[in-house]
Amino acid sequence: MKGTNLGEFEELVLLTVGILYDNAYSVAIQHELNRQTNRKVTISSVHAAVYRLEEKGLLNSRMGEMTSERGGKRKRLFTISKAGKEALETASELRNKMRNQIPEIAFQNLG
Amino acid sequence: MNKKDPPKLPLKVFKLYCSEERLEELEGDLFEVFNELVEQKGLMQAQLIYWWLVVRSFRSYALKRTKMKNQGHISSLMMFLRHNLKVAWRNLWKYKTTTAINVFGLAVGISGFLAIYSITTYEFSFDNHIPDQDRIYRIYTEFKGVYTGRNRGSSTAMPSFLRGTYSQLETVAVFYNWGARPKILKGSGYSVLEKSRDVIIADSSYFEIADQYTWLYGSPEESLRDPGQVVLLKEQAEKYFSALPIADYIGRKVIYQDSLEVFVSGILEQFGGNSDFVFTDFISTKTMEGSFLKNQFPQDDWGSVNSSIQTFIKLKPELADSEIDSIISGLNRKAASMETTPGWVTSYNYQPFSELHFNTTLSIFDNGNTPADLPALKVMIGISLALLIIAIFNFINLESAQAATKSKEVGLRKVLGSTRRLLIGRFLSESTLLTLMAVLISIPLTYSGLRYFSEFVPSGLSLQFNQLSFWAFVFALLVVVSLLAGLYPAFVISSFSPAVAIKSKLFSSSKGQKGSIVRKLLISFQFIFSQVLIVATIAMLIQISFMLNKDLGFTEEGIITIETPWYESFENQELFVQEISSIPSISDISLHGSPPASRGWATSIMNYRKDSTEVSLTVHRKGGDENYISLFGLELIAGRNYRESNESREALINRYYSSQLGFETPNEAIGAELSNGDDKFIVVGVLEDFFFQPLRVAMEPIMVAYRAENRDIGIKMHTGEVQKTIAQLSEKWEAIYPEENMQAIFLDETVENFYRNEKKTSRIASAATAIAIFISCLGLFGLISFVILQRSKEVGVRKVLGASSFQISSIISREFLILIAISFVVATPISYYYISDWMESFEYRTPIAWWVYLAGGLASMVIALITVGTKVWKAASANPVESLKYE
Repeated sequence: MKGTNLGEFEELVLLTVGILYDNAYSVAIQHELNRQTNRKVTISSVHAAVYRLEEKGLLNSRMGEMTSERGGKRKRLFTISKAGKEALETASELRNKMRNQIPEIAFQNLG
Repeated sequence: MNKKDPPKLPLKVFKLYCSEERLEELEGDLFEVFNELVEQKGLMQAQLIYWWLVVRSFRSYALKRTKMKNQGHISSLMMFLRHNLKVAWRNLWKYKTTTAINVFGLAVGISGFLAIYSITTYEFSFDNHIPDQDRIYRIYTEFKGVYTGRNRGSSTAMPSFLRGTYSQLETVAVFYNWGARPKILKGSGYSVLEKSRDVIIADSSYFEIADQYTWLYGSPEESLRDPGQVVLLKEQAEKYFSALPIADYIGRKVIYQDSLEVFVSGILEQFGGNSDFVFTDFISTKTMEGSFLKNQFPQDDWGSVNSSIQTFIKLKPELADSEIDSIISGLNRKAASMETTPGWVTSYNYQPFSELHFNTTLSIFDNGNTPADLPALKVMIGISLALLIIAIFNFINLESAQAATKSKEVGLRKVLGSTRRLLIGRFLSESTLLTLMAVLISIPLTYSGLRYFSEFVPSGLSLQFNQLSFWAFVFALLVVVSLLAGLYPAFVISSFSPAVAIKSKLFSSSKGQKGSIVRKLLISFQFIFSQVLIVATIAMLIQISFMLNKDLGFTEEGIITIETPWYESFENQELFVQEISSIPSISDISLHGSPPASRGWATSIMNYRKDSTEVSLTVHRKGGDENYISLFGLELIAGRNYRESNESREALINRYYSSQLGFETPNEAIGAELSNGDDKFIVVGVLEDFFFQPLRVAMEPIMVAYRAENRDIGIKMHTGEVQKTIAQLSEKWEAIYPEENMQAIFLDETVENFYRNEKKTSRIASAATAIAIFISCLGLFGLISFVILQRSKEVGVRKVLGASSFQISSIISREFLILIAISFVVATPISYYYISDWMESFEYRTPIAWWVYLAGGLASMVIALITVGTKVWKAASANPVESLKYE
């Protein structure tokens, strides 16, 4: 079922878009991801993720204004759609639900 | 903040593939990232990473879509191409038989061409890596006078003279080809290895000519400076001493030919591609002085010319090409002044380095690579080209015959507004697709073909799949063949006027007639070619069998010769002869220099003085013990056999020689005295002429005399016990010569080997004939199928009106028979010309009867009839209702 399954990286991107609210464009997303996760993420993998998420309907986008910072090119700004919000919630619920089902004993003796 | 522009080129690349929709934002992102990178890592690194980013961005989100909404010029072309390919594919699939015939015929034609291409490029790849080739020449020897000949070697005095006389020469290199059994100390004893045939005796000058080595240890100057040094190729060193660190090879002892002690002083690695300089062991020239080698290669001697003595010179750079001529003429003046034998001229000539691999008369080196036979290569290129053309003709024929079925499509397309150019594109893509399939099939076909014909293929050749040039050639072939095959049909079919085309009346119109004339011409060409090949092949086989079956004047069957090792004593040989004479199945044994027919030969100039005139002739020499003429069954027509004596030297001559000397009957020749300097012989008998040379050569004078110290043992055995006898011989051999393997040479095989080249040629011709017939028949079959399809209504009507199946078959076949008859008329003079030309090279030839030519015509007629007949008969015997009920 397209649109309901979130990949790990997609989820992170989706979260970042939410955090950055109103200033979520590719380079900013890349920076925020680098900062939050301590991972080196290339711009092209961010591109791949945001466009895929947009295709799935989890992100909305509009073109921003021209700035000299980008050699006069406009940027595409992303916001989370309703479906995006639901997908995030489903994902975290699922995770919590499953986390809570782990018996305590499983964590004992781990040192 | 001052912003830097990213490099332009990667951006241009990016724009090529990026969709317009995404371009702006992505470009902006990249711009931003680039500027960050400049701050963090500096401009250089940033630019590199920027490139990488552009490459990484080649992903689906950025790519141009080929959907209709994006249609630019390029994508409409793409769409058109895709459409064409789809239609072409459907069409090819619909007419499976025609497609299969076309693909297969073309594949066979292309394979032949590809194979010849591979052979040609292989042969031309030799020694290309050697630098300064245009300045390098080999000096070889020519003899003129009573006997004319050439020798790829030279004398030892000649290079020293060059070295001392000409300042224009950068290098004069002399090396000696040699072969020897190396003996290596292994553990406590010596072990003798198999004979190394690629040993040379050389000094540093060799490496200035054959500049293709990396010195892993040592240098040309030092490692070959002193006596007793040897330099080895790394592989050879590994073979001798097993794998060791390079430095550990140095100083190890190798003993060549039992007594030549040398020590390893350098290790080499050979680089570059195919080379004729395949030597493995390099013994220093100085070693010769104190060894038996100085007898084999006498120094400072103008008289002994030896093919093993190789002289290469390199001119200084920027000298005119004519410089070499003046050096040679100076050298020849010197050589003439050194000449001691009257009436004999030894002169020198040069061979440009680039011709080294292509001269079959001089050949390359002793025991070296086989030179490429350029004329034979040209013939093969010609034949393969003709085969390819035949296959292309097939395609043209079938395709333009199909025009009728395609006319409706063309008409409709034209009505819908298709231009002629588009239509041509449409049919060309069909021919390209077809050629592509043929090319794909031809590659494995070539691969197996080269293995099947391995004897024509130079050893070491394989298809160069890893080379770009090979694929470039394949691609070029694809383009050329599809254009050649596709253009004519494409033009013809696309020229139909829509009204006529849709009504399908083409074949009554004049255009259809014109097309069929072209078709007939093409078919005739195919048949002419096939017939010439058939006749030529038959003629060749006749001549070869004539030569093999001709009575040569001596016994060939049941005789083998064995050569005892030259370094072994004659006592051992005597022992061996004694041992084997007890074998019951051996009827006779002789010791001789060489059997009546052998590959090598020796000649002397013999003088005969009669009154005041002297007859001086080049005479072949053979000799052996008293048994020689009886063992080989040579027929004595006058006098008696010679006696074994070194004092009174008696000789036999052949009938031809006796008549050349001016004797009317052989009996008169008895008692004549022949001399060669101080060597004097008395003729005691005359032999009937026997063919001691290939039948290519005319009869020449020969003298057979007693010869002591022979290495060759002729053994006559009872037929039927050959294998058993040879096994027994080997056993005795082992006991006396444990180090060398016994090699029995069958005399009849030697004679057969005389004609090895002719046999090869005839095999190529047979193969080419088979392929030519096969391809033309494929074409004929395809064509007749279409003719029948078109005339099915006619056949039906004729049948209804009472014609028999036979009558109908003959009406349809008649057209083809006429074509074959015309081809026959054209082919006969052509094949006559080629056969006579080929026969010219044989002194003894068998006449080619008229029926051979007729057979060629008849054969192609029968083959054509069988091809056509099956199809025609089926059509003619079909129920006329079938063909008439559709309108």
